[in-house]
Amino acid sequence: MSEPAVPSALEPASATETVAAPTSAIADWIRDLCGDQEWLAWVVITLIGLGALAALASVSAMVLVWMERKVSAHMQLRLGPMRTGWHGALQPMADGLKLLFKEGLLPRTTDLFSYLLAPFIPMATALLALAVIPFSETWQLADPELGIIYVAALSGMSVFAILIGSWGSNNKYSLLGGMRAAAQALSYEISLLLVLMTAVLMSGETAMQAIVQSQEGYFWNWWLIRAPGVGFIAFIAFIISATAELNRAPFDFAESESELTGGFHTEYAGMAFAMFFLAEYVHLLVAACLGAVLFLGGYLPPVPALAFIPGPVWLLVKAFGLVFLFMWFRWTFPRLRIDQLLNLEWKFLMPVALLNLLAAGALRGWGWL
Amino acid sequence: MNALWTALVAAQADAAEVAVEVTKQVEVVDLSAFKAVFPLTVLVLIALAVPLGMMALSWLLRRNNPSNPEKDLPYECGLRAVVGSADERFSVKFYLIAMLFLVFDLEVAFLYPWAVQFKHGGWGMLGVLLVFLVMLEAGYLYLYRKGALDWDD
Repeated sequence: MSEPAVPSALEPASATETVAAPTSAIADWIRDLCGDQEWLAWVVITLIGLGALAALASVSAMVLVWMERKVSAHMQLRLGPMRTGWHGALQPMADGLKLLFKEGLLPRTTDLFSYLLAPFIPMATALLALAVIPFSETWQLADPELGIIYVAALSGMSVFAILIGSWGSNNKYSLLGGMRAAAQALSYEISLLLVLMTAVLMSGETAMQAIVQSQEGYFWNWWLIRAPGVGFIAFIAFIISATAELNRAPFDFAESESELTGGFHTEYAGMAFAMFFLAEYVHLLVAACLGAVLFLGGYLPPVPALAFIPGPVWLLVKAFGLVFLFMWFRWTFPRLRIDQLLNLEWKFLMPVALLNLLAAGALRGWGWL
Repeated sequence: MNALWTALVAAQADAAEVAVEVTKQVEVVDLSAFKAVFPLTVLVLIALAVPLGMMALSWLLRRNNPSNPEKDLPYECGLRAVVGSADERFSVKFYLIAMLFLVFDLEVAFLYPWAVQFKHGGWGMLGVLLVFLVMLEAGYLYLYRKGALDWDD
């Protein structure tokens, strides 16, 4: 590139060098093809990246659906789906096709606009939140200064989908599930934001790329380990709040099927239901990636000697490890009662997260971090 | 979406600042503002197009069979199809949670700039925070004693 390496607002200073001289052969080939038109090369590469991101979202949603089934099956000494492809690997495809051809029910009493609007929200926000996840130093679609707040804002949006959908369905079960989900998501949003802030405080950065860069080196530089105790408590609090935000068991009040016949999506069928369902798994991936970025060094290898394995592999290994943890929880803990859920947040998790934030501040004031 | 726009606007402003510096150094076509905004803009379009496409595909492929009038009633158990309306009164506790959330979410919103600036401050910043938190957590303790945080009484 003849253009001087300018520290753009979207790239942290440390990454500009690699952005100016990327190693990817395909990117170089596109640059050659475009010749002088550097902006064209940039646009083409960005568009390829966008396509890759959308593909990653849909493929990983399918992989996660399969994983959920297999993990739950093996935890209950079952086999799970075995007939469609190798160990049922094509089962999510079959599910998707089935749901694609399903009749879309439109109950007479629904509020049409909100009923139809709701399934779009979680899908769109999940895709948008993936944009700021850094897969390597250069593989990141956008790195806004306030990356972490961007993710928090988008993941907070999914409660709107549940509320709007449950209200629009005009069904008692839906509404109950929606109200519960709203109370739960609002409550756990606070401890989630406090935990994210602890990570911001420890690293002193809000851009995702910079947070990963602050954990450079060996695995004991990861915030989980580096801040004695504080990082660990923050990580545990993050896992609990994220489980609640994702409406996953043991906090699956929004759709507690044994009490609410499915909760907020009781009235949804066919593709509309599939979108809620898929978006849930994309959100799961986003939350796992976020946990990996904040506490487990993101795309960085545990020891620098393993740097020959590319960053995206490391990030996905860590993220899928966390996903497995979320799935493990589902079959380990029974569902809480709603008063237990709210007590856990307001009387335990929120104060603990706040004190933990103060402890992180004290450690930093001491010059430990 | 507010945070998204704030981030975008901030990125744009930063990019514009950088752009001024660049034009002073070399005469090149400056694209940094475009580069800052383009990926997320296209992604917003993709994020709208993916669910729309899925719904449209399903709408084209599926077969609607409105043979049974019971089918488009809201789901409910029992012999009579639907009893009453869904717009019933629900517990006021949900409102209480929403109000509590507002207070503490504002607290968190105030804390974020503090956390970002903390690396420049040190102990002084911690003191400032403690003053703020002592006032706020006094309110929290009051709520605790009043039983506002209890769901089951």
